[in-house]
Amino acid sequence: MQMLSMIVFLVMSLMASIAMLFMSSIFWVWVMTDVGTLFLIPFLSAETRPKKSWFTGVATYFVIQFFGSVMILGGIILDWAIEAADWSSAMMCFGFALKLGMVPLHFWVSRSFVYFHYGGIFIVGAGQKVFVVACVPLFSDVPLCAYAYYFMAVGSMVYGPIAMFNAIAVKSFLAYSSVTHTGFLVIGSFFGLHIVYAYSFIYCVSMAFLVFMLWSGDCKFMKNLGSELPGYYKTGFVCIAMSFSGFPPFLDFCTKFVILQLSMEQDSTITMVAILTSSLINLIVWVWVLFIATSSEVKEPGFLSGTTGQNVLNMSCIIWNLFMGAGFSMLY
Amino acid sequence: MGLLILMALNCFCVMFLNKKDQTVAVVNCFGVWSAFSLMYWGGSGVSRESLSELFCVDIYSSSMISLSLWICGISILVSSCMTNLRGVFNSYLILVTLLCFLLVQCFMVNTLAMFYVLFESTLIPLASIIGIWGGQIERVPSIQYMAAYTVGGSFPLLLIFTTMEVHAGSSFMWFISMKTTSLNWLFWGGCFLGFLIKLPAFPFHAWLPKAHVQAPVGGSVILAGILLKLGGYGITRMMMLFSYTLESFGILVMSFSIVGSVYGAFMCLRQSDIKKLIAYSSVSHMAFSIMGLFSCTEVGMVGAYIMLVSHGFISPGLFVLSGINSEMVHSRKIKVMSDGVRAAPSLGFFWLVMIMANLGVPPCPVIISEVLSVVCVIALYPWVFVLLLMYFILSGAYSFSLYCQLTRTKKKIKMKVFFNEVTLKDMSALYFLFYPLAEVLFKWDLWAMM
Repeated sequence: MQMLSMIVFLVMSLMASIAMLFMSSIFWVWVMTDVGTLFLIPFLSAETRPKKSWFTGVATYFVIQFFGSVMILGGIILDWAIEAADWSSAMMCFGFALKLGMVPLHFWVSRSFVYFHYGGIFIVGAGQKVFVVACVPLFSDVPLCAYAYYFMAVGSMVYGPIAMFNAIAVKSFLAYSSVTHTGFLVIGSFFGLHIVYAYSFIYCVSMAFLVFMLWSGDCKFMKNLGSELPGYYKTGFVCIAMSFSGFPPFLDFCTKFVILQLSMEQDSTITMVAILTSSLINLIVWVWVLFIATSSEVKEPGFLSGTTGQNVLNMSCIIWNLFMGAGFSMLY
Repeated sequence: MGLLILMALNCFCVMFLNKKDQTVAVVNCFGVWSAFSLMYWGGSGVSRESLSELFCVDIYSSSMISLSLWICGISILVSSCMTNLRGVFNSYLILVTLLCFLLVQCFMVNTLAMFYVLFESTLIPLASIIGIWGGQIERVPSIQYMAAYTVGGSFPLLLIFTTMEVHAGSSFMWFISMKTTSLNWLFWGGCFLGFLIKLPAFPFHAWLPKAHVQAPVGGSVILAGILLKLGGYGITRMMMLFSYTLESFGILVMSFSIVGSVYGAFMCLRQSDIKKLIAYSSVSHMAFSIMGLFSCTEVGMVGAYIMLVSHGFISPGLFVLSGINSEMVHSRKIKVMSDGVRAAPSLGFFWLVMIMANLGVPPCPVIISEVLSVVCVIALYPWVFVLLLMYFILSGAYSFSLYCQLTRTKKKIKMKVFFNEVTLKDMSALYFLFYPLAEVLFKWDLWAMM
């Protein structure tokens, strides 16, 4: 019953988020964003074994999202009342940036994620962000907001991998990974929404694989990843780690390369430097994660040693990371 | 393309053999592929058989392809004799074959973009080999060093070929040359940094000793034998694009290399770990290749490629010997390895031969390379000969010191060796490394452009 309710609320949140994409007025965008967030609260707070921690995570998330919504609504009202376009845009921009969790407004991300279940981490860290990022181009004609988003995105791209290095808990690691990818998504939004949708689709699928594998092992701490991650998923995890490291010809290299190419076409030097710096730090972080995950004191079952479903998932993960890069490059 | 298809088909057939037959089958396959690759050796210019939409091969590519196939086969052969790889050998076969496949493609592709992708992809199997079969916990930082240096150093190259793709529509690197009048040193640095790090050139060499120490013997053989040569090959292709007109930037790089050769030789004198010593001697030898390549002369190119190919056989030979010797005494310390040499005196003879080859004693082709590179450098500034003289003295000193330490006859109370016999099978890899050196000696002018 609990699983059913989680699915119902998730679907309702998804429907509200999709409806948000088709709204032409900023007010209705705000309404649908908030409705989507509200429906996520029961999903996030659902736990098979309720414990005190879920309340802390969901409460933090709710307060931050609420405050962000207040800022957005305040901006809308200010613009309607006294037509202070720049101030109202700045307030709305602040609200959306807070909801996205971009540097320097990222303080809540790790605090919330540590207490979420893995499904919540995927939805908040990957799924929800895709829809909120689609609102960023609304402010592209306001120079103050455009520059603010740009530099926040650059900061997120560079800071995220550094913070990932210092993560002790797996969920904290995923939180900072989502901060990094949010930066890439926002930078992509400057080049066109088609890039955002392509990148976010790829990111969501990759994160789904990663989060599922970590959930199946109930992984808590980074240092225990080797022993907690199930042996039959290790090959898939290795592929994901290599992809997120940025090694060609894996998938994540191809997506970052497309954004690099686009920034080169626009002569955006800061973006290029940020992408390369982020990629370098990311490489070192994920090599470290790879070794932690593949080191284990106990001899474990190897490749294709799980059930049929587990093997299919593992193989799908390998194929996705190894071959979709070439497919994406050809399509793009 | 025919070579790649042959490789894929052979690998498919080997999959159906018994596990114990697979090792011998794969080694034989590498021999067959090496022989097949000799078809691409068509003299100066591009090989007509290789011309296609994706690939283009000339004498520089074909020599590197043959070297890759030969060295990867040697790596499997030597690893099959080592104790630390038994039990998980099939994974090693797969990784080495995959690495070889990527290398062959890397040397054959005709666009800079594909070359970059394959250049970086070769890091994955090597990192896996070091990670899985490396002996110590320090292998993780060594892989991070290697990955950060290699990938980070080639980011400027990524920007350059992306620029080519964006502005020119293609990064095809054959039969075109770019105007070089308005290019600055930032551009030249971006073009060559990744390759100089890969070679490795002084002062970007820090990753190599760490990687060699942590890698198993087979991994060191591949790293020293062929992966470092990727840098030299990349420099050749970039120079082809810019019609060999570097001049002042080339002089700067050559200056660093001269210092690097002396530095490498000096560091060899100070080493007590055999693998670190061989790594630093690689830094010294690769400095001569860099001098030859950046001299932008035909003589320099010939000298550089003789060094690249010869070093590709000599350095793995040294690693093979160090692997056998260190397995006998379970230590890489040179002083301890002398127990192994005393237990198996034939090792002393092989050490002498390999050390002399490494030093460049005739008839080893290394001497030809050193002479040609020295000629190129002195033509620019004669007083550089003083530094090169220092290099020759230091290299003689460390070689002599190494041999003396390995073969010292001071009696010990207790000699600790785990086995005191070296069989033909153990030395087979070494024999297969000697033969190609003779070929290089007789065909040293192969890389001269006619």
